[in-house]
Amino acid sequence: MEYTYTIIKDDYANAGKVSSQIKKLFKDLQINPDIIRRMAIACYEAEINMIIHSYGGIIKLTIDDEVHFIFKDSGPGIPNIDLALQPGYSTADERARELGFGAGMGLSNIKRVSDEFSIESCEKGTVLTLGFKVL
Amino acid sequence: MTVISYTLEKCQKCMKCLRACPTGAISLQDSRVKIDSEKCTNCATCMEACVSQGLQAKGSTLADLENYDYKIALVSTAIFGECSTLAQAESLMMAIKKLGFDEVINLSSYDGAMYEEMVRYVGVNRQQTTLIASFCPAVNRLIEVRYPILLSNIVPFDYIAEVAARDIKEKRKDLAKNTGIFLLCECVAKLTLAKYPYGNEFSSIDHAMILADLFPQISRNMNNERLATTINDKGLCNVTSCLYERDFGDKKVVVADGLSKVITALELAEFDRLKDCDLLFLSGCINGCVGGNLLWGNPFRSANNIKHLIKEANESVANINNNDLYGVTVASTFNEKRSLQERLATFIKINEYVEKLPGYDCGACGFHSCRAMAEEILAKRATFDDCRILKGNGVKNES
Repeated sequence: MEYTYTIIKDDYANAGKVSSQIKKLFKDLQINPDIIRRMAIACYEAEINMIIHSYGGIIKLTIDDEVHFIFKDSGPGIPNIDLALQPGYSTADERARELGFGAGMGLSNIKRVSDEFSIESCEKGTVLTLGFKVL
Repeated sequence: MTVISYTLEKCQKCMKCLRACPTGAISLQDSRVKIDSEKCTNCATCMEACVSQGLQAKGSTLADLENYDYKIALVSTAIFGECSTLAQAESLMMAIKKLGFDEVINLSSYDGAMYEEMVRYVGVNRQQTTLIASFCPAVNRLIEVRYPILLSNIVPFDYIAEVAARDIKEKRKDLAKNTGIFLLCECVAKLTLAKYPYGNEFSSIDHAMILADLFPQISRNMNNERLATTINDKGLCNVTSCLYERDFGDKKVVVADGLSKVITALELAEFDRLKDCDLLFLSGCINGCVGGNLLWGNPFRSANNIKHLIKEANESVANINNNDLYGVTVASTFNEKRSLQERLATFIKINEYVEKLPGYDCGACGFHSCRAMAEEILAKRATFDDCRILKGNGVKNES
């Protein structure tokens, strides 16, 4: 089963709505609450990252024996991924911080809670792939 | 389990309860409202939505007093929302005693002990995630039913009335052969708790009564006579959400009162969006327990009264062993046996049905949402013909 969601740049008013939909879907699927918790956190952080930092993109969710997320945006890319993965490192602008986002924990949190984690980035865009074992 | 009872003769079948229920526990089957006790949280939203008093909570009555030699009234701290001075509180307590009780004990000193322990607990147990303080049985049930992810965040305290009843029963055991403990409740959730203890195997509370039901008699009994009463200030903080933060110092406490705010807070907590705060205080009623739905006053006046009353309150809390304040925790019970593939197949099937249904969640079929209806169709307990909208459109197209 595959779902695709569109994320729009700077759409703070709807920040987290896609993650809420996905969370509800997992609950309807009666997945173990502890796993839903990790997937919800990862999905939320990644969605927010796309809204704050990217030019927008899509979230692709695939569910078969495992759950896979692909977060794909259209740029501008992450210049230094190792740095971005450090807890506390943030390039979020003033506006995002005023709204309580951009604490620099996003990527490191995502990596912490997911079972599979890979990230590729160039100027044309970033692709973040996450995998979760659900059994 | 629930103490909310249904009267068929009074029910207008308006479906308001069905749509109001936050957990989708209500359905209309064979023209009768049915409450699913597995899902019911006893928040009483359905009672508030009911236009014809078809749904009502039933508590014990004063007639039950006759079965006991020594009768103790445990009065919820929330009742002090009706009093703005100690003098008023004392005459209220006297009026309650005159209902036929031998002793009247208010729970504020126990509430106070719980509040003190909570302040201490948050000080030493700062964790990765937000702690949830809830003395509200309805909220705890809501978490169990809708947000099991957060069950482990709840501070494992027992309910105050239960702690108090245990303590008092022990202290008064030599006084009479047959002692009866009557809890005078401010909300349906606590009324239910006394009948169907949550986590505990049995309750020390013998009977639970509805405060609003007793109002006519209490009001008749009110005069200048007073019963010496001490009210604990921390206890008052525990039942009034605007005062809850008072003793937490530099700890960050987020307060959400009223069910819709509670749900918003829980949704955020599931994404770990509240991890910056130390404690999340949740109460299903507006302004905390003082806004209880079985009290006769209004929650805004009550909170204001408490702010005045607290100036006359006492500081010593109940002398109770801290360990006795803790209760049984409810862990998330995940026992899904079907494989993910099987669950996916069911899910896809349900989604197919949902697509065919109009999506208004009108409740006319007797189920609270089109999704619930789709599940019933899959279980062969309903058919598409039960949908009034689809049927209505069909008729129109033919004509």
